[in-house]
Amino acid sequence: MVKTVMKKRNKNLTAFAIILMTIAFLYTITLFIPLIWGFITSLKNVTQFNGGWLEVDGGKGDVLGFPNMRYWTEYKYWVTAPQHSPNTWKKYDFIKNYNNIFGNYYVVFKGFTMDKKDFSQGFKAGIFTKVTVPQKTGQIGFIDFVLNSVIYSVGNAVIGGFMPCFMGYLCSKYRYKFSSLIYSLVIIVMVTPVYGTVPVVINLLRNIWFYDSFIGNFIHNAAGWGGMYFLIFYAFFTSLSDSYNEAAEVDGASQLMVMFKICLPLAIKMMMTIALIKFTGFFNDYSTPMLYLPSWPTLSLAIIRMQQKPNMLNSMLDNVPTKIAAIMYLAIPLLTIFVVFNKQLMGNISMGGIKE
Amino acid sequence: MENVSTIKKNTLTKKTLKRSTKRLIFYVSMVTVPMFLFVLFYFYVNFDALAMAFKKFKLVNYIASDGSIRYKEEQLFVGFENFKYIIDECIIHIDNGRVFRQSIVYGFYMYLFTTVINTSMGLLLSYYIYKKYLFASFFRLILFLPSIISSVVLALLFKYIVNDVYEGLVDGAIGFMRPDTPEDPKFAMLLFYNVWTGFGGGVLVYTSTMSGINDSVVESAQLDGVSAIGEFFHITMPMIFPTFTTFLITGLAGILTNGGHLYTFYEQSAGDVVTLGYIIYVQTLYANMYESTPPPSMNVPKMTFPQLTALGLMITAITLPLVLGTKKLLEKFGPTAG
Repeated sequence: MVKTVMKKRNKNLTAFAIILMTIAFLYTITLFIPLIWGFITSLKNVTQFNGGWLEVDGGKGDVLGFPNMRYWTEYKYWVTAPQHSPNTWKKYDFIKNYNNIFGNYYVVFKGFTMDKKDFSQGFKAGIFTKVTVPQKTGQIGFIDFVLNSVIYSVGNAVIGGFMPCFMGYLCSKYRYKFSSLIYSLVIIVMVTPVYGTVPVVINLLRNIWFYDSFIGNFIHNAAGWGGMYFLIFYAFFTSLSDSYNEAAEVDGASQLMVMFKICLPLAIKMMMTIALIKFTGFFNDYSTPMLYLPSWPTLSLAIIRMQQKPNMLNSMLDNVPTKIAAIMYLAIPLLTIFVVFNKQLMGNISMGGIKE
Repeated sequence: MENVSTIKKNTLTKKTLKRSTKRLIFYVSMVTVPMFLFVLFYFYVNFDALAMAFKKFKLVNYIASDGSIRYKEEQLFVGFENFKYIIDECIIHIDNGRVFRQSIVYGFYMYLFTTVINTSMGLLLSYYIYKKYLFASFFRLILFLPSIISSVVLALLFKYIVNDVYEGLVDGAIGFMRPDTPEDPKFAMLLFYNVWTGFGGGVLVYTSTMSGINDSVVESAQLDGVSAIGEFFHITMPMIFPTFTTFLITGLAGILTNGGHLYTFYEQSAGDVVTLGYIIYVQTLYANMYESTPPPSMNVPKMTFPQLTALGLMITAITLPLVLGTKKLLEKFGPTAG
């Protein structure tokens, strides 16, 4: 009775609630302004944004207005203008006939190349060797960034979902003294913040030849199973009855089969949710790839890097609408995940435990 | 014949093995590798950091047997030299240490502002959602958005708005976040951004904790005529105090190492408005064992890996007692449910 009353929408709005609602509404608006402005701007032509068409805009840039098709249809004159090298505009020959509002997206897709030197620095590898891994040379393009991002985020998300579950199962179902030791170690690591270990980790990875490789990154990430999610899985498996396992073992199932065929499938939903949360995190992450994977820049890292430095390889990228189009490439998959999976992302996991 | 006999033998031993032994073998074989990695990356690394902070690395060239010049690494134990360098060059030195000292102050302001504004707003909005006022589930969704959309997207769009849009609308204006903008408006914008995106950070956790509050307590209080505000301060707050403490302490643990999205905005060229976390991050990126090239446009003394680990240890030495002490204090003097 009480519960049904509470679940109903609260309709008596007090002054307190109205103030909070106003704040929440204003916040919602401010949150959407950059996204909407960004999308509109990414559809604009450079000349419209910067203002370069004297007869139409008097040389004043249009930073807030809607995209104007006329700028795109006339764009070939600017592309072939002397300040762009012939190599650049030959690449964008399409624009002569391509009167499309998504021109900036096309430019990023086709022409977002960077020098590998922008990312990698060369380093000494091996504990007893004097081998120096040189700075990488050559070019790296949009497809590579996307591929690196996918490998990095999918691989780490799968590991990040599986490992805590795996260890949580082992520690809760095999009640040896060592299991409780593991549990206490995880707690100790969680509550003691230690700083300044990044140089040591880099040095360690270099010495064991795992620096700057996806395998090394996955191994490093697999080591990080001890954390909040471990505790969640531990609690989940502790609450699970042992009777299934015992029955299966009597029927002749091996320990491995009990784990993979009976117990872990029960947690598959949670594992997927955690992997999804981790995926969004890793897809956004640029700092870890920058530290540990300098030769494999991800999309978010490449996008950050293209914002500051003028691109030597392609001057078509050096303007605000094109840079924003690149940012939108990063935002679109995340917005899609948010729209499709928001219930899963928000619903199942809380700090206290699992809500199903 | 031989094969059959071995198979028979194997099945025999398998059957005769006790269940507990089988379990133990399985457990050990499964746990070994993850535990090894855990110990390697979380315990060995910490002890190595401790050792590295007292060392100095040197490249020494020597002539090999084939006559060519080669390099080898030499490790020297230098005592507290690295710590002394940090204190003398970065903290005490009047000119070299200016940006470094300032960064600590900026980090402190950032913690203060984001904690006070974000936590209070987060709590109030969570309460709004928990009470299921109008559009509650919609707001819950929206407040979760900044944690999915990357800081890369939001920060860069924010920067373009306060720089390019502002400059486009006002003639002759200089954007708020250009590298050559005066320090105060720049830091104000940085602060604003951190507060703005951190608004909904705790809402998800707070609301799910609040939904665990016993309905009968709320019901009886409402029968006694408690207002919405009264209910918030006298029932909801004490009930979710442990969660609140956790957030407060997580923020406190990052008071000296919070990057404040500076790298997303500026990469290595943030100028003089920086936080200590940013300095450490950029120095780590560009330093190596032997010498370090100072990152462009950063007025901070250069640091090598050992010096950075020494700095990290100093931060730990300050933060750890602060965090544990605050936790004890909050547990002792905070409101208790009941």
